[in-house]
Amino acid sequence: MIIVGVPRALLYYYYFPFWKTFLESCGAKVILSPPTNKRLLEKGLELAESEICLPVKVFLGHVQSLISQVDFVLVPRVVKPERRSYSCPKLLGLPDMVKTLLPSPSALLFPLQDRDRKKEMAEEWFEVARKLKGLSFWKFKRAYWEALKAQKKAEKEKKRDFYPRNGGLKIGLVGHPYILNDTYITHSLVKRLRERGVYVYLSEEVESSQIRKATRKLPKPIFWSYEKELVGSALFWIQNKLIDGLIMVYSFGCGPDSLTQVLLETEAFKYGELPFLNLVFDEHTSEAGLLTRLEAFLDMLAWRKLNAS
Amino acid sequence: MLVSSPQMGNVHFFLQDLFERLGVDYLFPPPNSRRTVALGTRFAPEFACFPFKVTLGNFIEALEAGADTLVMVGGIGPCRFGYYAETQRRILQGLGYQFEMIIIEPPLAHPLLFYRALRRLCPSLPLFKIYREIRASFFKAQSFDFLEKRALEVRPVEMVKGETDKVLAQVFEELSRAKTEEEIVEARKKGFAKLEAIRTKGKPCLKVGLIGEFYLLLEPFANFGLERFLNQKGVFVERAVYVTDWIGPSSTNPVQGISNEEIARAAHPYLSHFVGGEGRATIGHIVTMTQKGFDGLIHLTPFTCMPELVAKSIFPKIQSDLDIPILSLIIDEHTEKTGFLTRIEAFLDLLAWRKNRKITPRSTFINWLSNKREKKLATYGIKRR
Amino acid sequence: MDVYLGVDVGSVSTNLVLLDDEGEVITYEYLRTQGQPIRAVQEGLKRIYSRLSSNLVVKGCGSTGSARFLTAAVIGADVVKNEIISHALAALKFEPQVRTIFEIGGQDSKVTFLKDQVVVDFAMNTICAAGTGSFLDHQAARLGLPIESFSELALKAKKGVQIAGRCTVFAESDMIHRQQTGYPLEEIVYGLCQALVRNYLNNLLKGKPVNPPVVFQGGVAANKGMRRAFEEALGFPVVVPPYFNVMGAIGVALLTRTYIQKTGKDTNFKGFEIVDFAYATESFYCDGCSNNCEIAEIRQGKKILARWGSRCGKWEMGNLEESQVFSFL
Repeated sequence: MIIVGVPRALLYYYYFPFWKTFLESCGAKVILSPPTNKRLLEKGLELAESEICLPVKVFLGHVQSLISQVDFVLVPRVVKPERRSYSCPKLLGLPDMVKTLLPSPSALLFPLQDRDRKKEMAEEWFEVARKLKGLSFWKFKRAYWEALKAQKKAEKEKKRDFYPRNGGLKIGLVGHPYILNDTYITHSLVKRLRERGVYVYLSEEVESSQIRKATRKLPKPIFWSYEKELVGSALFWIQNKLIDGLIMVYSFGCGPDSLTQVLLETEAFKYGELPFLNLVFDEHTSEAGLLTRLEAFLDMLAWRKLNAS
Repeated sequence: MLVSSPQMGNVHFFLQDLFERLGVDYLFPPPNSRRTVALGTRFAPEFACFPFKVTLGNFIEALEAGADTLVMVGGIGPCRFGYYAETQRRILQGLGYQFEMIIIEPPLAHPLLFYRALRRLCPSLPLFKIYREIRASFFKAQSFDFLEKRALEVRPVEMVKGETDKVLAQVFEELSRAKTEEEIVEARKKGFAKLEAIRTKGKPCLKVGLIGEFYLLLEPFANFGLERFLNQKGVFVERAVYVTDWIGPSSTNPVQGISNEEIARAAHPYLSHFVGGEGRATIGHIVTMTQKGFDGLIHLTPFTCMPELVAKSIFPKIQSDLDIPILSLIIDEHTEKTGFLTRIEAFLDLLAWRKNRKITPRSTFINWLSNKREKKLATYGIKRR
Repeated sequence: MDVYLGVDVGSVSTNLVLLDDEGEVITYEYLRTQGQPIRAVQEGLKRIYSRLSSNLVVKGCGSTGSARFLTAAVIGADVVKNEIISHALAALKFEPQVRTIFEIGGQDSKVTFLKDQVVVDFAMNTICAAGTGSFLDHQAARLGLPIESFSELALKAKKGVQIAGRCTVFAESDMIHRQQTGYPLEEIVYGLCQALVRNYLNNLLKGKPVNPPVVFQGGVAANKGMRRAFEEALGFPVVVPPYFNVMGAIGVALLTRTYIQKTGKDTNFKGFEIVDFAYATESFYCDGCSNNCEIAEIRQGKKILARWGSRCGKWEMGNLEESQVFSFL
């Protein structure tokens, strides 16, 4: 049986349902790398270019941990997750970066994921199926279709339209899933917030129709798909006055976020000077420093709320 | 309406000419200075890239000088550059400036936005006339680029130091006065003849390629006049990008001479997909320049530049395959001229040494570098453990 | 006499403050932490105790600063609060109309914005120490001067030398270069202050408007050159409060006072006896998973007071949460 490894980092947090369904119907066994830990991160730091962003460094660590145990590592090239909007340059070049690090390039699967080039995308996934020696063309078609369906279903399940109107503090947390869900690099930020009785809104839970509506008024469309989701969800919370404060989380060296930060800051200011906290993570981020910022922010929100009432 | 724009290499020749033809008042942006960078750094987000900060500084200085309309190029990503204008507009508005930002979007991707921007700039001119003026102006801009490219070839071997610069300034002056197509062709011909007439001697001692992010390559302030510096040391320089190749719609790059397709093909074994910005072009140029027999390459990238970082991650592999020395330098607001040029000088020494020896034992080079480093440390009274 | 104790233990300094029932400062103590927070707290308490008559009744105590949880475990704090809020509370006491607080400490720097006596925004240095006090400390060491002399020297300078001060290492080479080109010492010193101010403004403010009154506090505020550099950069005067270097401790003591007075609770303070107790801190590596977290624990005799450091939380002990005391403000 062929074993395919999927690094538990970066795009895993977006597309794993699709990958898993597809690979398994090709007859491959899918294994995941363990959640990020110190050893993985250190390995990644060793391999990566020093100025590159933390998620890529973490990703390389995950790839490294998989290589010895699997036949193939899956590193898809995600170009346009939505029509007419890109992921990010580093994700476009990810397979090429990984390729320079791996001993044998054949151990890498890097099919295309591109909404503007659906045909090419299907062809490349068919190539993957062929490499895994599994499928005839018709069976591939079915597997591919089911995988896409599984992806859609999983995305839908994440959506929530519950907005608590009263009660404690409500905070919108803007950040890529691959950072927020990685409890190691964020020091369990989400959990910590929830433990303190804060209701946390996450970008992935916002309906895409709401996101589209919220971003429609922007003078210039955002051409990064994931950023569009983040900014759109934040604008949705801000415009509907759902939150008491906005926290933006990004990693040092993230290009798109360094600019969308300005956008969110100005928009948050426009809507009643909504408090805005910016948390930048890198491999040196200390828990103590993070906690101090977080506590101060929560205190500030509580104080403001008290003053207003 | 008084229009201004950021400063980048020869781009102001193009803009000045174009706006004159379209009947728009154009304010020459104050030249880049330490103050420009300081202003930009102060108000830009901390992790924005260097060109963002400098152009933001340009805008602030232009607004201070009385401009009320800012022109900036847009884009469709995935490089951050495409979102500069919008972000800068927000920052400047936050600072309380009264102005209008006109973003020129790529006409093919956003035809409507492009049209609107043109209409904002010159509301009354008929469209075909605008098109004609842009074409004529573009032709003129291209002539600047061709002449500049020629100067790069002459300058390293000029007999009297500084002659090329003098001649080039004169030629540019004449060319910028030319209006009609015939005049431009005439001025261009004359310019070439003048550059030809510069007395030369010998051959350039080294051939070095400049690759990397376009702003840093095109703006002499940002790269500390690197081209001139290299030329004066007798080094022939080829630059990977020219202004008109960059703004021009065609993919053939008439000035540079290598089409985008060729670059992509050359880069394919190492980087098989475009990654935005000049990421793939950087890799492609490494391959083609190596084939052309360049002695070494200098790679300039702003701090945290995404496409160049992807390219840079591939350097180790490409270098071990092609055996070409590449000096990769990161530039941001903290880069210091002396330190920057010291590295360049050391790199040139290395290239010359490598060329003369014909063989390139890596270990010897490392020894040599570390010797040099130790000597330098010793002058500060520091001993290495 | 009823008193309230505030303790601020940071990476560089440890400050203790006693407030009376009215919230006025009775006495304070400023010590270097020198990597031994518990020792510093004990030493500070000892000094305070020896200076004052023994009829003090500590009604409440609070801790703040980066070692606030450790300190809380040692002294038995009633209130644990982060330093940003503590500093803001203290600044409000001395300058009720304050709009902006600059705070520069040894390892971090912050700016806090207030409106109608409420904190509305704050920012801390992100990843670089170039805008903090350690920058000046480093350069002072490099120049062979005590940091205390900076104040006087910087005020003597007619103007500052332009020093590119983004990063300690680069600034050092730049400074050496200036020295070698023969600039007078005081201009270099003032240039360093300006570099720090520039860094601070660049990294933290990012064009946000600075509204007066501005309060400048933290250990670095002792340096009059810094105040001058700030005033020159901003174009209006900057207030340095009387107890600028112990403001964190004052803030948390004020908060404790409010908390105790409003709830009427008894204090958890363990008494001045703790100065004689022997505390042991120990650390070990957990091998439960591949994170190999370093677990730190503090013991008093055989009793474990607190333990922290594990990512999964299985070793955590003692009160490591901040007090939720905002309803008492």
